[in-house]
Amino acid sequence: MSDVPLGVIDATIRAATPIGLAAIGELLAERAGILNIGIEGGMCLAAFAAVVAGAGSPVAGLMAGVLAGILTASVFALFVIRLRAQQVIVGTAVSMMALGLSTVLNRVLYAGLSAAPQVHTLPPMRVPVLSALPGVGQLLAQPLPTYVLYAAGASVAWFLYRTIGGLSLRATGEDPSAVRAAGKDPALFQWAALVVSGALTGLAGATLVVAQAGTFTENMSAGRGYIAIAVVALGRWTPAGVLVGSLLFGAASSLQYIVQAYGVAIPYNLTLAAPYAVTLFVLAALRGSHRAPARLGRTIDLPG
Amino acid sequence: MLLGENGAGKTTLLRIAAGLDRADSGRVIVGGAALSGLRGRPIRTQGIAVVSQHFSLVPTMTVAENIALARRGTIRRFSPSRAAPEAIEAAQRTGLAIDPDARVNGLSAASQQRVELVKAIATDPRIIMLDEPTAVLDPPDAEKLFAWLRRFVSGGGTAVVITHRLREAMTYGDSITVLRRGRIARITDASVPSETEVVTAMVGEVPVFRVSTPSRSAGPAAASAPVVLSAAGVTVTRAGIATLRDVTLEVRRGEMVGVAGFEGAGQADLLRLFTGMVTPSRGVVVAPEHVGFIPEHRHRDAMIGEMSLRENFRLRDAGDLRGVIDWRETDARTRNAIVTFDIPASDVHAAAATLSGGNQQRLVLARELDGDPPAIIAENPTRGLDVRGARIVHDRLREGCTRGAAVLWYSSNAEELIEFSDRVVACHRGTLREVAPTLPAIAAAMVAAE
Repeated sequence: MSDVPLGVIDATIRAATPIGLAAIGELLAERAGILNIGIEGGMCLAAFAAVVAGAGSPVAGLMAGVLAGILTASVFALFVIRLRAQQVIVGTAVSMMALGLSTVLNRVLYAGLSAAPQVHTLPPMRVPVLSALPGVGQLLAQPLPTYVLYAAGASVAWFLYRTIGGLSLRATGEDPSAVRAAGKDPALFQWAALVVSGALTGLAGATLVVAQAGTFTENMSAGRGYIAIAVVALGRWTPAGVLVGSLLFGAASSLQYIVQAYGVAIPYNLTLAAPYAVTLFVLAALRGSHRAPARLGRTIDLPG
Repeated sequence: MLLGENGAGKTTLLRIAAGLDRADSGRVIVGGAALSGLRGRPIRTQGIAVVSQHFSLVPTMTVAENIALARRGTIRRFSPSRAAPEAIEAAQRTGLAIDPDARVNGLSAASQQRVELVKAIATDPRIIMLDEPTAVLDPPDAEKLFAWLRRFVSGGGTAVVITHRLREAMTYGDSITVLRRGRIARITDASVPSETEVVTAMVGEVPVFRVSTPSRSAGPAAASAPVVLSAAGVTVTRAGIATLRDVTLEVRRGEMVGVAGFEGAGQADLLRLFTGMVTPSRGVVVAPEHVGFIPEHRHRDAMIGEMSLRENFRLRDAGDLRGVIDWRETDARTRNAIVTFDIPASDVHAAAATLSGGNQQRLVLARELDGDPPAIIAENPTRGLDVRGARIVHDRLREGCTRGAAVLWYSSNAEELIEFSDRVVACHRGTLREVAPTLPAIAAAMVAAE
């Protein structure tokens, strides 16, 4: 019986990892004033790349996912920053294209098979000493991406609040003309934010395959990219808030384990809908109590 | 020192010289080398600091963060706890007071101007370019700024300053360049010319203003005229601090009352009481339903740059929920305003942002005076305007007054207050008192109420 809470926490951490990775990336982009809806598709394409390269090794799968994520984000950045197109429209288009591409490639590449092949998953990494602790210790044996998530959260927090570059990036999301007046190029900060965001999105997609399912299914991201966008708002555009927010969604996703464990008579469809319902409720409850970057979603005005 | 009327091209010239904008033809030489490369980049590489007339501060960030933003580097450490002392240190070099922890969007125009100046100075520039730095500064701060600029220049720095104040240019400048309609009308040593010579170069004709007596046609309003604006025993408290204390004021029909006071002395809240934007925590305020209001931040509070002139003209009624806009009638009124206020606009569909600062102010003035409102409130309405622009503002306010409006206005220029007001009141730390319309009396009242 005492194993049940730990099992739930473990499931929470597992489910929170891909959402958190994508959300930390999205946070960076949004602080620079860019709303990237395309991360949903980017995540799915990265998952597919991970299953292809994962045939070699799980780490190769991770790297392929990161690459696919950066590529998708770069296409988005090209249209949004360089060609100054509407962010929401480009984001939707990129998302649908990446999603479609992963489906098409999956059917072409694995036409003869009934499903994508199984790949080896990453082994859990034990934290020295601490993982030997009774009870809690078993939580400290997670696959690599989980550690990357919390390290990324801390790094992003340090960068945003403790460096001049982070200050400039935040200023880009608030008032790009002030950044330009300081002799810096706001577009540069947006590009950098999107590339890093793409890498983290890619890692999130690869995690689904290489650290969790061990295979690829069509539309594998299943709305996690959109949830990540909601988590950014939920976390009030701060790294710590985003980490807490993704754990909250992880908990909602692991609701099914609780239901099973305690034998509560709730249809499983309802428990599956929980994360999405929580998104709506929490966002509605927090309405007005936080503030998005002033220029979020807006194209930078041309100088002069 | 760069002088010229509104729209003469001063700001354009400055921005091109700084590398912020690119010239259609010609080259910019800085320190013997031509400026090239990306927009904005030259500022960084050449050690040029620019303070624009339109503030380039991030409104949602603190003063210290805004000052740190101008520093170079990417991974270079930024620490909120160290940024504040650094900001204060930079401010102390000039003597300009700033509050490093304050958020910019809560600051007055004068405070924001001080932050902009400190931000520019903190980058240790070789060349500093200031676009009308003293337009909103209090006189003591303006003096501190020029004292610092003189030290900066004698230490080998170069300074370019745009100003509308002749005396400033002649007192502190080494050389004066006068622009008129995009051409250089005159370059001269600052000590040589007379005031009239410079003004002549600016406007291209012998100016007749100043010679004429103030057009105070109606004279002080009769004591029997009805009171239009009144505040009785009003106290305004913001976050526990009283910005106005037990203030009483009456403005009668056909009367023009001027308010003097340093930034933060309470005049901003006093004026806004009558527009309904500030609610008294104690006391009674009486004002007509419709009040013409000319705010100090005209770009931020009075117009939408992306919208057309006619749309901006119509914005006065933006609070109305009922009614259909009669565009033909609006166009006629807008055209009428363009003609009577001498606004150089091609047509009513032009975006308001295409007008120069002075002409935007004329548009706001025209709109707020349209329909003869019973009361007019104006905050520093001649801020940043040249002699001719200021004169139009003065004339129109007086005209509104003659037609029976009660006019209450604030100006950072005491001479202007004396010249055009029927009565002058001075604000000091939230208290108000009537003063004799002389410079020494006003100056004394601004510094201490007793």
